[in-house]
Amino acid sequence: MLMSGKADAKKEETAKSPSSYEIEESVLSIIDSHSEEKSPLLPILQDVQKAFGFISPQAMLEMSETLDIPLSQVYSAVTFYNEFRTKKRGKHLFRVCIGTACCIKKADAVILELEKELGIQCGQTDGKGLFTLETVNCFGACGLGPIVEVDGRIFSLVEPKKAKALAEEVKKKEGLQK
Amino acid sequence: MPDEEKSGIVQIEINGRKHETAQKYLLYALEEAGYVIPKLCSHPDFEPFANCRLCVVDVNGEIKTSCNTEVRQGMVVKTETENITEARRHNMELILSNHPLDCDYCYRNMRCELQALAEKITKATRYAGAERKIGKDESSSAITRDMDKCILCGRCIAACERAGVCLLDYTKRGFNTAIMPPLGLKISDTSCISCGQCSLFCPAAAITERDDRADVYSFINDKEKFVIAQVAPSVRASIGEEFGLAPGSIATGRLAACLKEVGFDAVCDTSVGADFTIMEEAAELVRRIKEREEGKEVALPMFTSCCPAWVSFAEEFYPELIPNLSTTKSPHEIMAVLLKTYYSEKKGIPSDSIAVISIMPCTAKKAEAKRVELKIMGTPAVDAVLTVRETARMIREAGIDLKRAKEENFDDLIRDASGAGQIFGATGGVMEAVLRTADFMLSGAGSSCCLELREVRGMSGIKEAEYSIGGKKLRVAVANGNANAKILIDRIKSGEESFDFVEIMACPGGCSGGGGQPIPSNRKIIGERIKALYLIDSDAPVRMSHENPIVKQIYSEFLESPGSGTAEKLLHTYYVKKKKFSITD
Amino acid sequence: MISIRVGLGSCGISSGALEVYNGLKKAGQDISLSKAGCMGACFLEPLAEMKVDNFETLIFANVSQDDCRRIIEIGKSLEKKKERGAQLVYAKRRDGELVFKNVKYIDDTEFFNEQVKNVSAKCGIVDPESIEDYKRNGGFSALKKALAMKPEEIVSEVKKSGLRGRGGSGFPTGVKWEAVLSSPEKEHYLICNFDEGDPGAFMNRALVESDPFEVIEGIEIAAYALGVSQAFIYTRSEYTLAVERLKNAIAETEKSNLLGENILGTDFSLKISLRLGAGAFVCGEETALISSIEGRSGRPFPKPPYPAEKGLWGMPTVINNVETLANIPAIILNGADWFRGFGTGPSPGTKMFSLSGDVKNSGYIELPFGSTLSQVAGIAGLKKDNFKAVQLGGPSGGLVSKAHVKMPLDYESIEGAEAIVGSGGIVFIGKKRAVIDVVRYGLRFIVSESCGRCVPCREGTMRIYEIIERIAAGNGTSDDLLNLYVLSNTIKSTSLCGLGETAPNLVLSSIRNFFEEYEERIPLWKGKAPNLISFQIDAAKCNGCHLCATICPKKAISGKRLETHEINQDMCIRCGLCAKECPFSAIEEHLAEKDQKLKIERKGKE
Repeated sequence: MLMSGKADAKKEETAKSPSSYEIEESVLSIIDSHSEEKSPLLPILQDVQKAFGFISPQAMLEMSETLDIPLSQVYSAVTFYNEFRTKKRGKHLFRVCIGTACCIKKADAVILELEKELGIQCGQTDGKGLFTLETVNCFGACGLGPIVEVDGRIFSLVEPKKAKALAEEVKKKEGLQK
Repeated sequence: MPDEEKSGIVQIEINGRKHETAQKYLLYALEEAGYVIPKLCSHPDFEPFANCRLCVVDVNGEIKTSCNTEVRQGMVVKTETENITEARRHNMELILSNHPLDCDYCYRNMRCELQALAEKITKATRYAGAERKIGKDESSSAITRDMDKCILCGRCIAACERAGVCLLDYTKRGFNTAIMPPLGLKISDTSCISCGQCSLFCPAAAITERDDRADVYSFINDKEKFVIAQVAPSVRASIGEEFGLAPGSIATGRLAACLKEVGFDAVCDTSVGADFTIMEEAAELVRRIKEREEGKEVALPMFTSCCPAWVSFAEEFYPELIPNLSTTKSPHEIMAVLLKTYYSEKKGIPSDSIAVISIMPCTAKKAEAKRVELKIMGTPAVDAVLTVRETARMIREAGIDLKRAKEENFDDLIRDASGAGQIFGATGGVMEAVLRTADFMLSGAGSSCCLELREVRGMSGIKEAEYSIGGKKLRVAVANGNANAKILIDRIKSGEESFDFVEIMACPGGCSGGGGQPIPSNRKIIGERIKALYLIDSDAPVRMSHENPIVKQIYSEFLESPGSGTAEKLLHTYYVKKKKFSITD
Repeated sequence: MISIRVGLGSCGISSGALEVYNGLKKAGQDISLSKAGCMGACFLEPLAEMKVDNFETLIFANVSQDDCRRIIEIGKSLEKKKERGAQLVYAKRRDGELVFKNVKYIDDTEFFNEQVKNVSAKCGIVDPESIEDYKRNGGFSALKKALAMKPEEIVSEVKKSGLRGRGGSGFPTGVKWEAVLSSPEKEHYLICNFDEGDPGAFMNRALVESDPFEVIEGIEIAAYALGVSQAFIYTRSEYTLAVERLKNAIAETEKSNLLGENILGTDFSLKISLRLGAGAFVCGEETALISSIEGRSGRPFPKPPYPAEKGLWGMPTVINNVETLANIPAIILNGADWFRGFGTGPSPGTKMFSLSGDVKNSGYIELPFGSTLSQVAGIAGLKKDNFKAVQLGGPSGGLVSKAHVKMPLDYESIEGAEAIVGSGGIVFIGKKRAVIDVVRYGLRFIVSESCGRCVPCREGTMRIYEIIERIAAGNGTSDDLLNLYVLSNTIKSTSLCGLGETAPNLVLSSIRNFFEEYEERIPLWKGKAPNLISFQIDAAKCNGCHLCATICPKKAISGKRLETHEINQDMCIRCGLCAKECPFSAIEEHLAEKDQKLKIERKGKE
């Protein structure tokens, strides 16, 4: 449960992993910011997910105690909704839409291409914590499929070649291109 | 409760016949009219879940689940149509397609609601494919979970909510849905209080009581051991159900005989232990009240502590109430102590060769027996705990039919219990029993007439009353089901109400509704069991603990007096604040 | 003065509209640059509209950053009254003096000429981030009118208009509102359902990104009519731009005193709060949505009680789709009769549809109910020889074939074809695609979005998905097909909520309309010449129960109930479903040559 403060070797990495006390303080202040709302569990979970990239057992305990909600209800919500993670994802998030229109435009081929380029299976994060590849059930941009979201930015008409290019650009940023 | 009637009678048509009913839900109206409707998730003690979709019937041309369809005037119902038969069979096949079909080896073979229903609908499934594989959790000393067998009916979630713990909930979603404690923790690392209510309502074998028969058999087969079985108050009024007797049948003598046949060397009555609990607890209550009158700082109201699931609940959720808990041990623990000291000496059996096995309506007692605080002479006082369900299995395994056993009496040394000791199995029973003796202790010498405190009897979740006890006005409260206890405690803490003495039972109905009782258990059946206990009390020759000859004898010969140094050492314990969840990285 | 608007909806941005916006800013220092929403033509994005003085607006399509300079040049040439660069202009608007004679008006292009843009009238025109622009275009006049009416008058007007829920249920909105009004509870809630999760549907997103103030105005009028002082908008969190614009619109409306305490000086006070979904399609279902706002996992509850009786936090709650509420201002301003002037009797008004798939012209359109599928196909630029199938209503909808091309798009007709309007998503499937794959994609979606509470949906949808996968891979058997059909019916009739009820629609509609695709893939029938065998009904055993006629995929069996039925051998495809399902074993397979009777093994019935 306690976050280990492993500092990254790279010089660019200035922020250390937050300490257990810092997490508690952050979570409590997030909970506090929603004190005027009724049934604020989901907005709180969303803020915590955004702040930390995942929802830790400690955060869930804080919510349970402070909001007087059973821990099982918090955990049930965390595991029910696709948006919440219990483990941190990779630094770069690739999300491929598999809505009907995008599937018709061969989104599955895009997934295969990205799996090859990033060296991971769909739904996984690579060993170094750099890339995560996931699917999404429809971004709502069906007219311009296949749709791929990279680090929060949506790209349209992404057939396998374009997907490869997107992956290569990100790999270059991480200094992984030969 | 869902199967209780609402006001107003309506006329409906079932399969072409007219029928009048005052039931709220269609399922119970159909059952009342004599129809057998397949059902799996539905249970009369809970609001409808409507998950299994097996109870479907045709209502005015539409297919609806009858468990949650409210009866309306003029409804036209058909219980069998081509579509309905097809739908029920499909849904059963779907359940079976994701369930290990190993009934022959399963713990609940022949005693499983899913199996019984499958026999009626279909036991074969044509759908084969992916299966959920979640695994077992055997970390708890009270219950075992095998989640591959779970059919996701949701009863355990509701039962755990009633127990005030709210530990279980649906996790994940869709095909991978699983009912689990949070954070993927083992049960033993969570706030589970071991009450076993979940195991009482599970219609399949996903949650069962922990099977401790093997341990007991090894004691019985060990020639060096003198194995004593002690029988809890509620068990005598419920074990008959496992052998086809009607709920509320009293089988005390027959049970004692069966247990001797199974191989126990002696059979004792936990209710005598209860008599001692009453003596010690009454003395404790009187002492606290007197201290309050002297202006001393004292923890009141005093809460009972014979229910180990309530004690765990307090240690985790209300640790600030620990000083208020009575330090008196629970009846079976006291009995075990007496057996390994007084009985051992009188009978000339070395105490380390005595094994005490408690036969309880309760799974929490399994956890209680392992508490470090309850060890005597370096070992647990109670060596093993068997629920009523396990005990019935052992009797059946010995080839005995309890119905036809010849009655026998308990072991001659430490018997007979008073009526007060035997009503411990009912909610309100402990309260009434302790007040009978507290009245005597407060008023001084001379016996008072036996108090019959009807206000604290019955299945209501929270009962309150005011009595004149030994000339003092005492306000008392009784709660059963920890969810109700929570409401009561919050009222007390907020200052809204104040009491002097509070009895809390974690299980609805008290021990008679305990997690280890026969299945099925429901409000009606529990009510019958409780009625039997009060009947035993009203017929008992001695109804008050302080008048019980064996109690007087053991105090005079051994324990001196209630609250004495010896009594404190042997019959009292302490409690510790506990963390709700143990999380390690 | 050169003013340029750039379409900045999500589609536009993903096509590079932001770069175009910045490029125009750089290229033209003293032009007036503003943002607009989405006109609906995704295939034309990025779009830029330019107006110079009193001259008609010019619309440039598929603009790239390189075009920015040229566009500014054209603008400057117009300022000097010189016509230049017509080839870059896609279309023009009917406003101001004529400039380019040979360029089409936007309303006359094949994409727009048949549309009736009522709800989406201002989309792509107003700046979605400016309340002033909205007001300039008539915004909030409906609210002013409404606040002078009595709440019952508003409800009665909406009821009279016949407006039906645009989220898919088609439930009459006025009737839903009335139910809440008659409740004795004092506290009511209004929830705007913006959880558009149907793959293939994106018109709600486009509407909110392009004209969020219209949605706010609709919510305010509804809240006033229903006696609500706290309204919620439940929105998908994936729609980041729409959420931003909504937050901004709410803030701006509050700042203008058109939202909050004592709106426009009346007793009416309203607070609108945003609640974000967290990636669960099922939360578009009313009771699941309520669970989600209440801080629990989004599992539906059985109905009754309906939300209008017992909804959010136990109080009467009205849940309306975004598009439904966006219709309200126009109905109040122009009246119920005006609204009924569009569409059909039972399905009045217009509907926004989103077009995608194997078509050239993808995007959203707005048509009156009753417009035909062939009209839509025309707008979408679908080539006649590429029309294989159309998915209506998302994975909960159905697949229709060329045979339905003349079908009017309204609630009644679509239901008749075993599909649903749903939220209005239309996906075109071309000749190269296998319909079974579309069924597979849809089921994959359903399986991942099922909440898991009830047996038929949790277990059943996985099982039909597994069967479809087997069939699609060529490993299916005729038993698979039979089981697929009968299990789908059980799932449809016994599921707890709408998601489960509609889950088998793709399967059932594809079996009915595209049976050949199944036939091709089931090996048992390949190579078995159809005229070698035939199925015959034994008159002695036939009870006339009509089951065979009901399940025959080719409707080849006829007969009156309780009388002997007959199989039309010319229509019969020898699938054997009837023989397997007959409860009286009255149908037998005959080998025509050897004239032998074969017994069919009936599985699953004891």
